[in-house]
Amino acid sequence: MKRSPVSKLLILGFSLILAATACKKQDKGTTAIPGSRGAVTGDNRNDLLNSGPAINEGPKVNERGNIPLTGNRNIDDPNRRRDTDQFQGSTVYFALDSSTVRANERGKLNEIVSYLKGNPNADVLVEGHCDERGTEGYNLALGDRRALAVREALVALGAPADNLHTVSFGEAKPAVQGHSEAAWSKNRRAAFVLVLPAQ
Amino acid sequence: MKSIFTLAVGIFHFSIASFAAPGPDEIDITGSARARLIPIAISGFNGETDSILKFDLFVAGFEIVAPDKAQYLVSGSNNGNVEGKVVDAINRNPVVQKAFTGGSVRSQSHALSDVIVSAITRQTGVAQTKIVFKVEQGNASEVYVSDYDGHNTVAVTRDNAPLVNGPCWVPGTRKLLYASWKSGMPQIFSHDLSTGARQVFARYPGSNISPAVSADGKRVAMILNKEGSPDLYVCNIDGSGLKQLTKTREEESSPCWSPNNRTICFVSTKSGKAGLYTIDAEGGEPRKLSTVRAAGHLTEPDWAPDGRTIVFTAQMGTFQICTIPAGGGEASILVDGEDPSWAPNSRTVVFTRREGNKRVLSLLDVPTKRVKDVSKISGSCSQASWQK
Repeated sequence: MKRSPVSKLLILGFSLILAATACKKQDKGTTAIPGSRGAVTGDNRNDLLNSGPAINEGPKVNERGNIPLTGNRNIDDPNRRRDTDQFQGSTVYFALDSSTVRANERGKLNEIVSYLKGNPNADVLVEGHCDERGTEGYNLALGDRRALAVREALVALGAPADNLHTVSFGEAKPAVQGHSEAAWSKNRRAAFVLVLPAQ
Repeated sequence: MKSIFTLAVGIFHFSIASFAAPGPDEIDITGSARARLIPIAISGFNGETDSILKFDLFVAGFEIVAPDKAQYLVSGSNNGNVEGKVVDAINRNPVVQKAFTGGSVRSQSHALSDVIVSAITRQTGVAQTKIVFKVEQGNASEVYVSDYDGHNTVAVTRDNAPLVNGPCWVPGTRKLLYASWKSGMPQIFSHDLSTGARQVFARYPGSNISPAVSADGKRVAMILNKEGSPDLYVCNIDGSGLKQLTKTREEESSPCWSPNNRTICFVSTKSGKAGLYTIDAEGGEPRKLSTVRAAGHLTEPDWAPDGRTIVFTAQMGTFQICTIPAGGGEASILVDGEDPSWAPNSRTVVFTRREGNKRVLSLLDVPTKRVKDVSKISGSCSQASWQK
């Protein structure tokens, strides 16, 4: 399975091209407001907003109400330090087959919000997990939706969207083994990984 | 050469279909007669060949019986090379006779199975085809390839990845696409089985999962969430020309292609429960497929190579393998199981069964609803995709 330096370079090059095209797409500079179906053409206020220093304009939300992932922070760089303990107490639990962040779970997120506000070089990866009572295909999508819902809740509380990333593991990584509601209720969760800069 | 071969087989299929249309006897072959087990007797073989023939013919819709109850008699030997013949049990007319050289006893035995199946049913056998699937062992998740019966298992990856997803074939080639979390984030890789060379195929921000290649090998459908929600995308086989097909707040998953490369079937939770939708591969409005009788979340569709049927999983208390006509309609609820993938014969399906804490792969003969597990593979196996 050893790869030659050339193929490593090829992979790297290809990844860079992909990353570059993906970034280009997102940096179009329009801030679509939910329900407004995009900015008015001919209006140059967006251009003014995007030139010069960043103005506190809030997260980019597209017309469906989704907050795009930015992905330009090398969340999977193997040299970055990953800490799964820091926000263990913040693990968010979900109702069966639901991706709604319940009101009584939201309080757990404040610690993460204030940490990210104080540590702009840190990132948080939100992991979405499911119990075993769905197909692998369905659970992978549900885990994705749970992680995205938690990311949106964090952004709504003021966390910087660019430092929040999501990943789904479906049902593959249960917190508790077993086939009862006791286990399932612990497995329907969003867990947090603190990703720190490389040393 | 491979693509020419595939084309030739395709033409052969078509000629049978057009020949079959006028006569009522031939219509029966694809209709209710397919659901009838064909009684067959096997003699003269031993050991590996005997068990391979019995396995292959069972899965192909035959029932192994005593000679006096059989419609066809298979006899032959496997002393050195495998040879065999089939005669009609009623009139003793020869049906087919074949001897093999080269390869292994195992491959010769599968080749004889295919000869028997195609001589009797006039359908191409699948005994010499392969499957790709996911294997979980401990905390590691890898991609494996094996013969369709679970033998000759080969690890394609040794990444110790926390998860892999959706391995599939590039039709007519020895190349795979699959998603791996080996970097921590799900990215799609293309992997050439002949050379072992691997490239990143999709590495957009967020998750890159569930690749599916069109039958002509030119286009790839996949699920990306870079716009903040899992949506359906297509691109060219070289990764260029990315196009977003769905723009929803809800999640899309598990795309598959119609055999004419024009339509993609996928899952969306747009209307609450997960349901099956189709969309023009060039873009347009998704259409919800009617799935009468199938209840609960409907997931993991796969479009039959003959274009007629879509097989999928329905979560109706337990997981059920179901089929519907490709245009939608009444579902046939077949057997307990999930994540089905069609064989190239549009008759057999490989799927996942849960067994305690493990998942095992099983084969389903759709017309007769008979099920047989593939050979035991250590670890938990799922997400099988049949080579086409």
